Amino acid sequence: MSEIDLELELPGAFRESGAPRRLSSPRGALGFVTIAILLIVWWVASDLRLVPALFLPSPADVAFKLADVWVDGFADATLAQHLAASLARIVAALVAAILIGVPVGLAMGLSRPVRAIVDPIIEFYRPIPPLAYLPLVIIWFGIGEFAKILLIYLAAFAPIAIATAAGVRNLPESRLNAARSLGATRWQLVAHVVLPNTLPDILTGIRIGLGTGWSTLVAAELIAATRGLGFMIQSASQFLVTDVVVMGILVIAFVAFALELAIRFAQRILVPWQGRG
Amino acid sequence: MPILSAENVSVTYPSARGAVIALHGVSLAIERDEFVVALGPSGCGKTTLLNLFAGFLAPTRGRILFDGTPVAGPGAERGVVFQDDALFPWLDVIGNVEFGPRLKGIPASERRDRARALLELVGLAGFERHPLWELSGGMRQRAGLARALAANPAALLMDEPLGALDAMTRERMQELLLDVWGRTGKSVFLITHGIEEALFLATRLVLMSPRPGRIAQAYELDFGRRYLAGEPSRAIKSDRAFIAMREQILDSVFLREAA
Repeated sequence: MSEIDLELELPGAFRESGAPRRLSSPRGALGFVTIAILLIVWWVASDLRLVPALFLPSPADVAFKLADVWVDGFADATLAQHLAASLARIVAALVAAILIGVPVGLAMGLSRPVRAIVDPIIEFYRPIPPLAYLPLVIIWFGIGEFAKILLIYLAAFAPIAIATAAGVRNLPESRLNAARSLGATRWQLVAHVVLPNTLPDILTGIRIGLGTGWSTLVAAELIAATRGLGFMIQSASQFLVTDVVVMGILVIAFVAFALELAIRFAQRILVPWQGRG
Repeated sequence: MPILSAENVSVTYPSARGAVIALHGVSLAIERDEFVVALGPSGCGKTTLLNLFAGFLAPTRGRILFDGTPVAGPGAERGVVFQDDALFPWLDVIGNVEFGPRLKGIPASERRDRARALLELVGLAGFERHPLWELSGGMRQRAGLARALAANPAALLMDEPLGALDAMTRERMQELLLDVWGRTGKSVFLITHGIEEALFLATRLVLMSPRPGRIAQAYELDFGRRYLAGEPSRAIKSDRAFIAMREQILDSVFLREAA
C-alpha cells in the first residue's frame, strides 16, 4: 500500500520545475473517475445481462425506482417518510448523546474520581457491537421508538464523551495559567477556557458518534421497525425487489455523506482556529 | 515595601533519583517601578522563580509576598506574559485583551475602550477584529502583553516573552517593552537567556546559576532608562559601558562553569 503511494507521489514531489503540485485536486479528480468507472461497469454488466436483473438491476431501473418510491411509496410509506423516520431517530439520539455526553466528558476530564467511575462503564460496553445488545434492549424496552433511539444514543454517546474528556486533558497548561492570572474563578475557567478549548474535540467526537449512530440506526431498523430506510430495504429484500434494495443502500450512503459534509461545515464555522491556532 | 518579594525560597521536586533542588535559598525583592531581569542558562530555576511569583507553584521552603501579603495562588494583580503567548484562539485580538475585564464583570463599553487604548499602546491599533492565526509571532506577543495589562496588574511577570521571536523582531519588541514600562509604570520581572536583552532592559539584572538554582550576582543598570530618555537603542548597545558590562557577565558565567 505505502509502496504504491510512494511510486505515485515521488515523481510529483520531486519535480524540479514549476509551482509545487497541489495534491488535493488530482486526488479529487481521481476519486470522481473511480466512481464513474464503477457506474459504467455496473451499467454495462446489467445492460449486457451478464448478471440477471434479479441480482443486479440496471442504474436506470434504480433511478426510476427512486422516483417511483418517492411518489408512490414502498411498504406503506413514501421514501420521504422513510427518510424522515430515520433522520428523526438519529437527530433525537444525537441531541441526547450531546446533551449528556459532553457534560459527562467534561466531568471525566476535570475530575479524576469521575473518570475512575465512568471510564470502566464506557470501556465495557463500547467495544460490544450494538446489534449484540439490541435483543436485550428490545426485551427491556420493547420495539417502540424509545428502544431504537436508546440504541443509537448508546452508540453515539461513547465517542462523544471520550473525545470530550481527551480534549479537556489536552488543554495547554499555559492557557489555563493565563486565565488564572487574569483572575478567573474555577467555574469561569470551565466556562471560558476549558469548554471553548475543547470544542474542536467535541465536534470530532460528534462526527465519529454520528457515523457509528447512523450505521447502528440502519441496523436497528432492519430488525424492529415499521418505517425507516433500514426497514424499507429489509421488506424489499423479503420480496426480492432488488432495485429498491439497491436504491435504499445508495440513499443511506448519500445521507451518511451529507451528514459528514454538514458536520465538516459546522467545524469550519464553529472552530475556524482548529489546526492553526 | 517591595511589591513582590521572595524570602529565602527553596523549591524541591521529587524525582526517581531522589529530590531535585530547583531553587535553593533565593531572596529577591522587586521594588515599585523596577524592571528586574533574571538571566541564566536553562536549569538555573528562573522559570521556577517566575512561577512562584505568579502563584502557579508554592515554595517548598520560604515565602513569597505580594505587597507584604503571602501569595496563595494566581491573581489579577500579578499579570503574566508567556513565552508561547498562551492566547485564546477562539477569541479575536480584542476579545483576548478584554478577557480579564470581562471575567470581572466590567461593562462592555468601558472594557472595550480600555482594550482599544492598550492595543494602541502595544502597536496593534487596527488589528482589533483579526483572528489570531493571521498574526505574526511578534504581534501575538504584543497581544499577550495587552491582555496582561488589561487586568491592570501592579506587577508584570514575563516568561521569556521574546524567546521565540526572530532577531529583528526581538530588537523592536525590546524597545516596545521599555516604552510600555515607561508609560505604565508597572513593576516588571522578566526572565531571559539573552545577555544583551537583559542588559538593555533591566534596571536590576539578577544573574542566576544552576545546580542548585540560586542568585549568583546582581547588577544595577541604567541602559533602559537611557533609551527612555531618548538615546537610540543601537547607540546604547554599542556603547563602551554596555559592551564592558556584557563581557563582565560573560566572564562570570564562564568562570562559574569552569569551576
